[in-house]
Amino acid sequence: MMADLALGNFAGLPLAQQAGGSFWFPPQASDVAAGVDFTYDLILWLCIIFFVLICGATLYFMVKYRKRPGHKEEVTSTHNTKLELAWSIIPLILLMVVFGVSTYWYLRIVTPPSGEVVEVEVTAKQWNWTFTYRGDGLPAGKNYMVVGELHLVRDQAYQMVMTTPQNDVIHSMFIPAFRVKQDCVPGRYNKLWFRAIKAPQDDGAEYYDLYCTEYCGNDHSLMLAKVFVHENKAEWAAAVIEAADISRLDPVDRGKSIFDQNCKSCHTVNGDPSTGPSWKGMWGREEVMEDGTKVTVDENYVRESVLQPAAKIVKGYPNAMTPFTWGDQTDVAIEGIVAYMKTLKD
Amino acid sequence: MAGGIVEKPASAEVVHPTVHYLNATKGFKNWLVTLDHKRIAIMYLCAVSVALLLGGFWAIVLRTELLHPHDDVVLSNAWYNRAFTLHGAVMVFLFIIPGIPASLGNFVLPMQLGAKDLALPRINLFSWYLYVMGLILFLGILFLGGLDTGWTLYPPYSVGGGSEHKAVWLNLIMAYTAVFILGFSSILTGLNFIATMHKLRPKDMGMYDMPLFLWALYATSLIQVLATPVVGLTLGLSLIEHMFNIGIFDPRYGGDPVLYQHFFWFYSHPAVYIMVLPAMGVQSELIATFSRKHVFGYKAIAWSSIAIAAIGFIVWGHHMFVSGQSPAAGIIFSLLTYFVAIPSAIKVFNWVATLYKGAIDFKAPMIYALAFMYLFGIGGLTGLFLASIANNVHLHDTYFVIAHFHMVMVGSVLTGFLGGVHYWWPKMTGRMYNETLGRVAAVMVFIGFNVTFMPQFVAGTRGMPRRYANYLDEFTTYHQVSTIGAYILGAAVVLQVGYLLHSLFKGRKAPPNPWGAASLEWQATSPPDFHNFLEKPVTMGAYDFENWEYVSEEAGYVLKREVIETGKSLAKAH
Repeated sequence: MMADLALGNFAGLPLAQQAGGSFWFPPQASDVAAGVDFTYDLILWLCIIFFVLICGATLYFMVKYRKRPGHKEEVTSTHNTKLELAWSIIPLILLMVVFGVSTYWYLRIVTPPSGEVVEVEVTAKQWNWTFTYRGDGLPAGKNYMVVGELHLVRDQAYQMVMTTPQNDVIHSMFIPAFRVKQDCVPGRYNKLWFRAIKAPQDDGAEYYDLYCTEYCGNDHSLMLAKVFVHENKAEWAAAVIEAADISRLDPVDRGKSIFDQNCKSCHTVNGDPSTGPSWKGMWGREEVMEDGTKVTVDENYVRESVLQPAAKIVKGYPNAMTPFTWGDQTDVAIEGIVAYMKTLKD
Repeated sequence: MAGGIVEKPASAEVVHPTVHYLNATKGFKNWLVTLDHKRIAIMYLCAVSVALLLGGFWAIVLRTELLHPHDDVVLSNAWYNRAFTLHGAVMVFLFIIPGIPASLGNFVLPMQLGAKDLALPRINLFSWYLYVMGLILFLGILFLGGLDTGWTLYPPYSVGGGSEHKAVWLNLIMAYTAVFILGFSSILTGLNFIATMHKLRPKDMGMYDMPLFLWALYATSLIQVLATPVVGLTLGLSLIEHMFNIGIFDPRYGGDPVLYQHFFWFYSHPAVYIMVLPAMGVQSELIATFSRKHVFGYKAIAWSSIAIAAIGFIVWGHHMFVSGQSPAAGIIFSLLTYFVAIPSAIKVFNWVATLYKGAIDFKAPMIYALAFMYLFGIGGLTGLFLASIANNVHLHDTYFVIAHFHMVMVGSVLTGFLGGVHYWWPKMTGRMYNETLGRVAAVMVFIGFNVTFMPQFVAGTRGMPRRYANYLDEFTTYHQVSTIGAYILGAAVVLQVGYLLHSLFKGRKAPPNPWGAASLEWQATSPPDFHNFLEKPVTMGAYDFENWEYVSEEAGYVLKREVIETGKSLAKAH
């Protein structure tokens, strides 16, 4: 692109270029990216022209009219209506052209195509992204939840239906390769569509980066996800099913992942009581229940507490938890939680 | 023009007053209860300098942490978040907003009008005390463990939304109170300035005879008075929400966090112009004085300040293009944002035209003014990419935005501030700073800015999000170069503090008018008398440099004899 001609060459610096990207941008992987970058280049050239004019004139005057023996300032006219109107109106016209081009591409970004658009539910939470897929070649009637991986098919339009739990904070989904971004706001559903026309493997990369770009606390900078682009629906479905299968994870990692997704809003792992008791040191401990009975925290108690939380409430905590289930993966999920809890024993 | 003109000192005579505003009364207590605008200005200058150094310290710490993509070089994630919050909040609320108006404006405004003081001296002192209370509250927050909400204080995060994050209510309320109090300080200063310009302007000085610095302060004051209440009300609403569990901004009570963003930016976008307009005002003075030319397009510059202030009120939605605001609203805000570019461009063109056929003297303040032209050029032009809504979607909340607003808020505002401090330093202190060191520091500041922020533009277009304590390896080089720039900038500031303080004790005594500037404050002694002028100054156009002639380095410029004798400016009416 034009921009590369202008400034790309001074980058003799050891810059790790994103595969397939240019000096300025990551690869143009969506069908709006080239248009957005064209707008960028248009503005860049206007800026370069004006900047060179302003700085060029300033530098020229600095040299030519520098104070020196024998040189004296001259009184010149203090205003010139025609000149002043010209340098107000010409930039205004140029800016209106830019506005027109920009608005055209913006409307393309925000208007989903009329053809088939596949919906993906996105839940942004501190500090991970959960993508829920269903239908479109996946076994009917089932939801596939995948943390941290967005799977797409090349040339297929997708609509993200994005939200954040009521008690969470604002996040923002940003996929630089697609040139798109949209906030995820608690209590609202925001939508974002895009169509990948390029795949990371085209440039020898594995995935595109997806960032959270609305500051959301401690691990904001770690709230990343990977965007995979598959060649066809069969490959895509296989990848989604595999990614959603939590049994492939090591039990401790699986338990931690479940904790981060589902439990963290009411339990801590650092010993601080929250809405529910902290998991730290809980495994194997004898807890006093609301009715005064004592229960040892073991596999059976954990399983019961996950599936029927109201059955036994630890004294001093409210009966506030909703039951959790993971369909046919419930057993492996609980196995993971138990494994993770054991690592928190101390 | 009755009296006063006859007993002017002979042209070549250097006047170093033995009694002046700095030593008219002695003792700490006399300063703390002073109603003298000059002393209050000096107290402001000290206070905002403390804020600048504090905010700058956090910037250096942040940049050091970002030397490495993953490791905690100096800060954990949690402390990184506190550090950027304090850097932003201290710089915005305690340095950039009050910086130029309250320190330089306070000192210069009445003198440029030939007046003895501001219209409301007690209000002026009161607003200083409010400012200091705000400063102390922010220091208190620091000692109580900081705040990690970002300077924007967005709910629900700021008010304890999310897991593993309890709002530190004490610190948050202190921050709210500080911003609220600082807002009042700002409003009162603005009100005072407007009143002074209307009521204390001499009868023979029209609005169009005022120096452009005063037009800039006038526009700034209008925004301060009209916009600042909104941020106070917003923070008040947030408190009411949590005291009575009424849903306003917090989704847990049924509120809408995007509403907060609208309210917040309804203040904070005009606040951007509170920051930059005074710097533009300083710029007009410096460019004219050091090229010895009447400023070109006076009325265009004056009215462009007012236009920027007015349009600045209707562009806040450009901070929220990806917040979930409707596309129609986004497009309208994008259009309006382009309109604000025009008056800014007009100013720049006028400054360049002012240099034409001048005699450009590269004194330290002028180096800052020329740096301003370049840095504001980049800051302003990169704003066009962000006003373009299609590009904004990509660039929003990336380092491109960081680089853009630092070019404007630091590159321009800090440069304007430093230029102004050097320019009025002889007048304020009666001493000349070391010119060579002044130039060296100015060039260092210029280089430091560019090395710090130019790489950030590219990191941003390539997708580096802001407020990231860790980043991907591909951004390492940009961050490391940027950090080197920050160190250069830091070294320049240390150098400045050094030679400016040194000049107070060892500096050469300043003549009344070392630069040959024509605005009225230069007719006073350096430092000025407690009542500003020993005799009524000769009212003249702010850029009538032909009334002054150069005598010597020791004596600076003096008024030409015929000006003293006739009491009239030699310049033809413009």
